[in-house]
Amino acid sequence: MKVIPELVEALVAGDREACIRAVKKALEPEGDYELILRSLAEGMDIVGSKYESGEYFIPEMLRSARAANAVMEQLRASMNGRGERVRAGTVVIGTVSGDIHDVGKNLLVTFLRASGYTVHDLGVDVPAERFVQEVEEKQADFLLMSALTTATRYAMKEVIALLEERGLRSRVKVLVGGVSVNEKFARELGADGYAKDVRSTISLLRKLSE
Amino acid sequence: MSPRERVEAVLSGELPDTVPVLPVVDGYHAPKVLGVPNWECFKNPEKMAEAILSALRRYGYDGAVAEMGIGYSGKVLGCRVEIEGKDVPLFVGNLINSPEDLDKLTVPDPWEEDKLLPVERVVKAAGDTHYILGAVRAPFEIACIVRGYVSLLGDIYDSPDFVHSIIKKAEKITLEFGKALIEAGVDAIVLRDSLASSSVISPGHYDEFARPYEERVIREFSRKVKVVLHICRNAAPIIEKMADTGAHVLEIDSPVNLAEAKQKVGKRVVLKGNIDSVEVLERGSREGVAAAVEACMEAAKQGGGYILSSGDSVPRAAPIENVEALVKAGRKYGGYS
Repeated sequence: MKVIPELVEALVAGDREACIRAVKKALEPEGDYELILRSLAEGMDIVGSKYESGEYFIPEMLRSARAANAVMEQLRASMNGRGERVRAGTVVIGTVSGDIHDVGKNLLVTFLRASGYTVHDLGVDVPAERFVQEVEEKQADFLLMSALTTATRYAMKEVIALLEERGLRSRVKVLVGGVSVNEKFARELGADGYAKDVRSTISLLRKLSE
Repeated sequence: MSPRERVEAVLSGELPDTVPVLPVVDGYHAPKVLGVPNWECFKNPEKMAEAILSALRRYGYDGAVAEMGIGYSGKVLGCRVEIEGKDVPLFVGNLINSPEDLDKLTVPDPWEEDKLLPVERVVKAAGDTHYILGAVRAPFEIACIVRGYVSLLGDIYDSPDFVHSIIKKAEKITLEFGKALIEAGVDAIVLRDSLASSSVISPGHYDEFARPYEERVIREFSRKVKVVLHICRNAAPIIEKMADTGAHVLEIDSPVNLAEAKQKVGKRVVLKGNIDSVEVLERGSREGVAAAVEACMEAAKQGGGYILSSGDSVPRAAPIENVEALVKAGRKYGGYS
């Protein structure tokens, strides 16, 4: 698929100014928003693979995510003038149990926003009722939950049961993650998917949106 | 040899009778042994002391990590911390949101609110026979907490000077608390710099934002006591740099290959580790724990300079039988004959 090579390259390098220049160029005279979003997604995917291979670390990922966020702001500003909206999807996210190790979730939120998603982050220690309320109010496309200890992962089951009870289950895709969860557990829960890290979460969201 | 003599032998480069066993059983797991919730111990320093001592008695390892009391982890840093009903203190919000907030980070009095009471109690009750460790957070780790992990890690490229200014202030806190632990009578200080790991920042950033500060506080502490440097998850790419800090012991986590670490730095420092706290101790079987212990011994026991331990804090959820299995297998496979 076609992308804007300069934008991808600037994003991978985490060069905010160069990203903005590339987008400015792409927006004239008439912007192809889809092409820009696709380039951002491609760039962030390369960043994710560089993290996996040990070339990049978390600060490098955040540098690129912040550059992508700057591009998103630029896009929103440009689209608002024409009454359009940038929207890859609406995500409600939270951790079912409190833990100091919620770096992964916060990183994911940054990445999701950088990839064009509207994100409602409920934080840690989120009760089932609150998840379900938010899904309904925000008309979320995706609900992302993580659990960090085996003792608390069953709280996810409660959320899914509550979604079913309220007749919301078919309207939202549920993804689970966190160190205490795996593919098998996700299936048992009746979730739509399991993702082990930031990169696989985003590619799974894209797959589920198709 | 008494448990204390065993650890001291290793630290002075001698061969003990058997590999010392000293898992990181602190305020996250010890309360389970006492049969009380973790948060109760974080609030009540006397309970914390009791928990640490009851775990030491129950498991029979060679030393103890004397945890500070009154939610030491966050409260002393000025962050809002939620403890009630929790196994691990939870930080709520960031203390520092802009350079103007730097003044909010002050050096608290370590002796206030009986924070050191558990340490003094443990030293008094077990210090004659056992080796007592006290833990402090390293400057980089404190900076990550008060600024928020994601914000601070993002600042590394955006405003490195701001990052340094937070860490410099944090260094004073590390020093003050370390000095207080020494005064309270610990034998060694565990300097915890969890996020300096190569699972989080690059070795280049470790050199810039973590190592220089670690070195300074280690130099200060090691005038009086031994220093254990703890870095979580994958520290393999920086293991030699860690050995250069002047720390006497490196506490390494399960992603590090112990045999390789031994080969690289085993002549310069003592290695402590590296049973997986979650996969092996929390979720594994007793047999799995014993097998992991045997593998560690094979990798690092030869020639001494090794302390058997978990790679990180043992979680509350780890079954008591698994920690017992760790100690038992440590004795079974640890002997130097």
